[in-house]
Amino acid sequence: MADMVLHLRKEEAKIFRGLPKDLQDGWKVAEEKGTSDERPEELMMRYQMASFDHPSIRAFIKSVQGAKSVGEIEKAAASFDLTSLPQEQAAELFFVLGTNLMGRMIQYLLPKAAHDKDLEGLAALTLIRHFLLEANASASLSTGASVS
Amino acid sequence: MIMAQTSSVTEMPNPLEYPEGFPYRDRESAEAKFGMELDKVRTKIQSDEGRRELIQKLNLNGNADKVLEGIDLNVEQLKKKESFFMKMLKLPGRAVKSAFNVMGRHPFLTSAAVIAIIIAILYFTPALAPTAGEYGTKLVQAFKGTLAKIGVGTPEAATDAISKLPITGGSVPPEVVREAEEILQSPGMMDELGRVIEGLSQ
Repeated sequence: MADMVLHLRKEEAKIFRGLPKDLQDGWKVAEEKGTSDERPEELMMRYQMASFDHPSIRAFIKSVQGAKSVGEIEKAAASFDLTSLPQEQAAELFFVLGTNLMGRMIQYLLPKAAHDKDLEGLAALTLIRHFLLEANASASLSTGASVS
Repeated sequence: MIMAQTSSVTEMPNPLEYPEGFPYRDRESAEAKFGMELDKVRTKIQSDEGRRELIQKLNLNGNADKVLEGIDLNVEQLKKKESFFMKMLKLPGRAVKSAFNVMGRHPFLTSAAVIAIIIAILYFTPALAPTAGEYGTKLVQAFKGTLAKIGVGTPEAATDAISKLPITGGSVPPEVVREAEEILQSPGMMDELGRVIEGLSQ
């Protein structure tokens, strides 16, 4: 099991407590108290700084360039195997996605959890978000100003 | 060499001249350009004397204060990235795989994540995909669509902070820069993308 602890915000913990009791068994909830979500300009900068250079991504980009419609792009993107990414590229991805989008994903996935495997994935997602929140709190702009 | 960029794609009142290679993707390239450690850059930005020193050292012209704000934001994110990577890379690989597996059971979550990657590459590192402009609008629409499925909306108008951010394509070959300029000169597309990314922080 990836991690027996789910790092959940209060509203997420409520959703977890609504899951079947036998599914909750064996899982601990640590309250996620981090509040340092990214500002819009931080996310925009992260997109500009991102470095996605893995061969599988390059190959995928080439293939998806032939997509003729929004639906085709969505379908092609959904078929990409994220588990093929090395850890460093996965880290790049989560850094770009940010804590808010991860939170939305967690809130979407939680009530649908039906097996321990689902909770294992969620535990990992909540831990990664926890790392992001800690990193976000670790450094702030020296001028205290946003770019505007 | 200085890379001329603008503070906004739609409004181009004061061209901003960022140092070559901005924004920097790692500590090494940033420190090589600045000739000092990242912490020192941030300390200097805090004082008038330090800012004057940086302006001179980097040969900044035009709206140097705005350029320094952009540099400060870049340095801040480099430090946050390092802090995040230090912990993230210690995670067992199976933990990351299990996170992707649970996302993969709901294809549009994978789709949202992968489109984010494509956007980062096509809009901001076009060296990897020089024909981005052909379907850039569709890409942003696809991103909006998948995000909407998990309740992420797109604001009607971008805030000042996001609409006036420096947009760069990094260091790329000249022929690719020409392609990138086509994308960046499509104000509707970039504004839309700015609003989508703003929606991600709400």
